Amino acid sequence: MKVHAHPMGELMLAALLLLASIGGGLWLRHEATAVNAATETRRQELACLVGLETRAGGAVPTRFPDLGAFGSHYVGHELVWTIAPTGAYLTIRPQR
Amino acid sequence: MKTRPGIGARRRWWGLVASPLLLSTVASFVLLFAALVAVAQALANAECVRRRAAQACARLAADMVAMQQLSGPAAEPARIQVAGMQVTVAWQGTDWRVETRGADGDEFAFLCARLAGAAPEVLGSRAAVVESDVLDRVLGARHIHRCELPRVDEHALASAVPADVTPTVRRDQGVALLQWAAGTDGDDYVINRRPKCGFNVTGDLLVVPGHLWVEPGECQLEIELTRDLVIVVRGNLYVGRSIAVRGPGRLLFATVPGPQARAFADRDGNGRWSGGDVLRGEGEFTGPIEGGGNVYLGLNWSRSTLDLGAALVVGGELHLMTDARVSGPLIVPHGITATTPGARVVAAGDWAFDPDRERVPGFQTRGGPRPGRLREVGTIPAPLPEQPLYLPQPAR
Repeated sequence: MKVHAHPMGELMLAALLLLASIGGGLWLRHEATAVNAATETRRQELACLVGLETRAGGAVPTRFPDLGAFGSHYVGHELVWTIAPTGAYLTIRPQR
Repeated sequence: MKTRPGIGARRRWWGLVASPLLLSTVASFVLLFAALVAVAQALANAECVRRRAAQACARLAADMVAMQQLSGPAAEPARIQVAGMQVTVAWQGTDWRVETRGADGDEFAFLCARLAGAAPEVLGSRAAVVESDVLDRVLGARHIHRCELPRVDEHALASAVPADVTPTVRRDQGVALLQWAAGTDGDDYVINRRPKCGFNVTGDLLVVPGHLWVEPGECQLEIELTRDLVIVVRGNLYVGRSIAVRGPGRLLFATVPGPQARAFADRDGNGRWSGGDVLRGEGEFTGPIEGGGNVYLGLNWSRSTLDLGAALVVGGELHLMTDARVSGPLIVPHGITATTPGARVVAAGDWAFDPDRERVPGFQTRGGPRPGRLREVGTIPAPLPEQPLYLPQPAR
């Protein structure tokens, strides 16, 4: 069987394409990892918040979730445990 | 020389694969596709969590505003800004409607009732007993003072639905004679024998002006409830078979001694006041021979274990003829008498009320008015524009 040598330009182009796709793929995977990390943080804070919502006995919680994890508009706000005659509840307040 | 067709095809494929440009294109496509799938999965996951977080935060803000605006003698519509979220409270029909509009454009709507006060606190626990010697007979029970016992609201009972008009409950003059040789002095009511039934009660409170019987049977009684139902029995409650509640509603049985009726521990298990029985309370025994406010879990011909898928507020003595399991809160003000030796009761604690934020019909409330639990509703369309009753017509 006769084998033809490939032109140098075609080889260069193929290598370039492969490198670009590897670079792009790695960058996309890096972005996906970053998104997953942020999601995981938000999920943990959400689990804490849901745990607080199902409060029992009116005991003061030991940990409050970071509201900033739920969106930029919550930055600078905090959760406060408010005791009222009608029962304890959570309040969102600007941080002092 | 002729090439065989199979070898020719293989060469053509080899030619395609041997091209470096084609190879790299295919490899690039696969790599990028895999990366894009990973990114899409991450974004979908993030959006799902973001949506849940937005819902939780909206619920939190709505609850906060509801507690601040609706706790107190006067409740008024309000529009409040909470961390970039606009929360609106408005009256809608029989409930308060709380809407949240987030900075991200997320909108949620909740409805909540306005409660006159909190329900008896003890209904939030798995089980509660007054007598200390009963404490070790109900695992996980709280020891409470007699003043903490739930008290029925006579005004509410006066306006409640009487059992006489409910098709699911009927009066039966012979049911007591099947169990007790002398029957009962009071009126007896029976929940229908059908294995499945639903309570078509207009309200959420049903009053039985006598004894209530759930007859023994092979299969359990299934009750379909679309909302919570409290059945107040002004007499004794006799449960002969398991009761299962289907649907979103919860069932609570409460017994109250009828007028002049007295509660007692039926030690000999004959269903009537006789020698050896122990009177609960002071004074002498009066009234109907079967007493009042007592609960009998298990009857003759009952199965070995009885599963009561309801809450039980006993007004007198709790009698056990079989082992019993109570799903909801179990409140026992006096003693527990096992008419069958070794019979036990288990307070499973499958569910309990949220006394601060839930209404339990038929019981006296405590504390001031407050909003009930928020329940999320789907997007409710904006109210229709007002339409005139009569079309405007030109004046003649």
